[in-house]
Amino acid sequence: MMAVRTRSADPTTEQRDEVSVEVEDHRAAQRRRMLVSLAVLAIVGVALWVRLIHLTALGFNSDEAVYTGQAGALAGVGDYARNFSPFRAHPLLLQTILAMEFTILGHMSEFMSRATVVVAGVATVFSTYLLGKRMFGLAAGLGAAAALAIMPYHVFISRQVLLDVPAGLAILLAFAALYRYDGPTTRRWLYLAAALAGIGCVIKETMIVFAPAAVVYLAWSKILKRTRVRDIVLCGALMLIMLGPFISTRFLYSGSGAGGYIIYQLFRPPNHPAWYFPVVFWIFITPVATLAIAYGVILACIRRTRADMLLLSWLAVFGAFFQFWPTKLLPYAIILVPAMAILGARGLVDLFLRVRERWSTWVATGAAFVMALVVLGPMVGPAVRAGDVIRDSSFSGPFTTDVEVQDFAGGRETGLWFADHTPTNAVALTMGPSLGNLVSFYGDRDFFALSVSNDPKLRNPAYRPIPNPDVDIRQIEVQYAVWDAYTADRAPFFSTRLMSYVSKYSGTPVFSVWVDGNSVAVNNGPPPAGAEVRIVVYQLVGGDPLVASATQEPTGQ
Amino acid sequence: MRRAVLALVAVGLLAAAWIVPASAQTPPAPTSVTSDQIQHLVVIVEENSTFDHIFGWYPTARGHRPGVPVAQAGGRDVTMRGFSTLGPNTFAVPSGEEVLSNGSTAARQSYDNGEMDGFYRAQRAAGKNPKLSFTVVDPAATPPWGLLAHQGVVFDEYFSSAMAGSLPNTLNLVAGTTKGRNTGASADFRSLWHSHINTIFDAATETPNVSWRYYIGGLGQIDEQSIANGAYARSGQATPSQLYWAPVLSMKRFWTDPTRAANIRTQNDFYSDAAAGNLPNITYVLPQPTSHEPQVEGPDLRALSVVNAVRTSPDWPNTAIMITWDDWGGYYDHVAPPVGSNGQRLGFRVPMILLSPWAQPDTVSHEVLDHSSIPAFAASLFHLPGDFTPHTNEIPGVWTTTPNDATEITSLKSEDPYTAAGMQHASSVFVLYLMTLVVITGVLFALGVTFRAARPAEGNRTQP
Repeated sequence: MMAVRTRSADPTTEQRDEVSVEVEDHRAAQRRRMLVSLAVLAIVGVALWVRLIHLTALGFNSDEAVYTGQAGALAGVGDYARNFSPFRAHPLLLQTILAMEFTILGHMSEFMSRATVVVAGVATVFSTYLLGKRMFGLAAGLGAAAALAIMPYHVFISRQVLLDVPAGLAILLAFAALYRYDGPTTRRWLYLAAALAGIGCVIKETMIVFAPAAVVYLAWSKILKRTRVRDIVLCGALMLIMLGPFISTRFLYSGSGAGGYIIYQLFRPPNHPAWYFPVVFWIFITPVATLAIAYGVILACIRRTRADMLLLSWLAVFGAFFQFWPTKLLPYAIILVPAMAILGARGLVDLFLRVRERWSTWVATGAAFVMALVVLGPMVGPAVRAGDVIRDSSFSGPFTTDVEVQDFAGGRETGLWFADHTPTNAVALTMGPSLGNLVSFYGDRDFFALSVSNDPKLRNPAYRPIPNPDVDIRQIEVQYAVWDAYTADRAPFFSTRLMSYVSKYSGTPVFSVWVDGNSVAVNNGPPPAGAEVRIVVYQLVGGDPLVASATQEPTGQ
Repeated sequence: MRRAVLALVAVGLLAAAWIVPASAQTPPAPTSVTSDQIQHLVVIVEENSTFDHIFGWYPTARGHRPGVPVAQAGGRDVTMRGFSTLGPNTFAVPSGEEVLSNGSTAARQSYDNGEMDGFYRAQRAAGKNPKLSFTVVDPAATPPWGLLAHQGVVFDEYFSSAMAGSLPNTLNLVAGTTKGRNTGASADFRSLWHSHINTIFDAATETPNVSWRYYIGGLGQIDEQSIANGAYARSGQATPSQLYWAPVLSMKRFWTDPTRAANIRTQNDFYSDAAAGNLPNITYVLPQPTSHEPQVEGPDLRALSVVNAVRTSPDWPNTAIMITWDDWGGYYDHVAPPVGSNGQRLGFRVPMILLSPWAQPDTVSHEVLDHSSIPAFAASLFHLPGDFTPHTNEIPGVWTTTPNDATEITSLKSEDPYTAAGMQHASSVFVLYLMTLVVITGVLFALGVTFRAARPAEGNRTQP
């Protein structure tokens, strides 16, 4: 705000010049602020746009169906409670917010569910700007926010109804608050960090990893020495208060098998190899951006400012947790991305400063432009095509791996087909529970999945095993088999097994989904020859297999 | 006088006000359906049972339940018993023989000039175990028929058309007549090769835009040459049962005329046609395995899968399924069959179930019908040429004016569908989490207040 000076006497020429310079400075600062505001607005606008375009072009994937189904169950809309118990592995804060929306709307809404997470994703972009600016200055903040706004990984994940995005926002804010904490006089920031981390935990319980990350940072930066024990206890209490409903519902309704989900989640077998995250990150963050992040990390290790220590503690503890915890899914690592973006942007700003110091501002500006182009350029294409069907080949990284984002392009169509074309008590046999969840969510039909283990210790308690599919098909307990390309790619064994039942019980293809350009096409029957098939639903013939019965020798009248 | 007239008028108006809405609310069931409503008729032909054997237990139907005493000739009293109470040895018969005798001789002995007391004697005379004849398939042991019956119409006065075994009855099922072939003897069978009995399929073939198919389980086992040269009919030659159960197979034109031959299909074809929504107007299905032998699960499952295939077909909204059993199979039934309009004594009652979105659910019809009522219904529905006048009555008004869209698959398992563990607690969990939101808001607000209060003191100390 412009300072207003009141003077009792007429100003001298010198004084007038001084005022004039101040006014000029003020105008320049105002212009700068306006430019910065415009830049931030543009970044946030782009972040919002790439997350909203064709938001519901593709249906939910399995996790989205589960969380939205739980929200539907909480709100009491539709018939979701039958298939989506509130007692699964994770807490229900996001689902509660969605349930409130559904209660107001009176029905489940795909768009509202995803838009809620989009808001959290865009808020993450803005918060990253603020934290980056506070840590390393305006350029680093803007650069980090710009990268995050269009980073394919963040765009894809924050377009889905996943817990990781709002939980990641809460943890980002918690780290930002922790950064402001410097000892007893600023303890309120520590309390705020604990409260925000508690919110993160009540969205997704793995956010508890914030606690060791915070301790590592505080110890490394020697702030821990200045921290009072009672403040730490108070922080722990705050986090526990936030986790209250999650813990209490597990105890109150433990008879519902609620505890089994946590045990399963803790000890479930790995679903991806150890190299999963590095490879997927390389592909989704884009190679050049990954190099920038690597440079930023090296720089942070060398300089070790308090900001560096916080970001490195953040990356190291969360990164180690997700790397060594056997369960690996693509969205888990979204917690790390804001810290990576800030470090990467800081690294590029450092390069810019070095160039300017060695050559000139013009050269440095040109170099900055080139750097922005090289880093952000490859992100634009995948980001604006986020509503398209994703294939491995969508990314030109050195590796190809199964892409977990939008796995089930066509899953919604399959579920809706079940709703429209099968009796209400129809039961499907799928290869894995992922597609089964979509059949339940969109089609309100039960399913069995071949990959669900008969061993209670090795299966998610939400799913029923099918110990002898032969019997269930013969006795007409299961009438449909659903093959999908995604599960077949990950688990060829179950694909072979499912197709053996299709063959044995004379399965007829009654519905199919294939990729047509950037979207999916469907047919009430087999897919066309040569199509890139994603899903096929077969109707099975119950009773003894027809081939075997044809050998019978009937006699008599 | 004037008051009396006014009073009468008032009473009359009141009565009219009472009667008119009542009749408007409950319109009578339509007596017929149109080919717009029923575009596909599927007839499933099962084997060898009487109404009492399958539906003796069925509520509101005219049946003999287990425990009911049955007086038999010679002063013998037999008690009806559950089918599942019999040991497996009851069914132990030499290969190729039937567990009960169901030919015309045994049928007439059992009928005993309307006394219905010769069943025991007839089976004993044929060397069979008579106990099996007096059994009722209890729903707990074999539930599908009961489940299906509740979903549609059961006819408890539906008779087989001939007091004999399969051939005369299956001929009536497809043609409404036997043209004198009333015993099922070898001569009758041989004579079919060159016969010109006008079947419902012949009539459909000659009618534009009316399609038909006969899906036959085990079709691949039949050799046309053996039919043509009479090898199957010669004594000692094993004749495929399908020739009796689907008598069109014994008629030359259904092998040699390409149009007709193309419509004789396998059971596998039935499933794929049903799944694809390619069912013709008139479909007959002879399942395999069929209920010819008293096996418990195999035939029931096959019949259920056939029914479910139709009910999950895109054609189902405009389809009617009729499931019937071709002849009595040697089992007891307590209702004496009447004489049909053709002057012939009808055979014993057999079950008939009608399933359709256009049929009244959970209904028992007491209309007297027989096998010839089915081709008569098809001929009437699709306006087919030829005389298909039934020996008894037309299918009665068991239809609905609005279709029932709710369709369920019937399986042998009857447990409740999976119920999520947390279903009953969802609302209380929601309340707990809403409270958490309130707590979160409160904590953040409280911290906000303290920040506001502390801001001047902290200044810029937190800058790195």
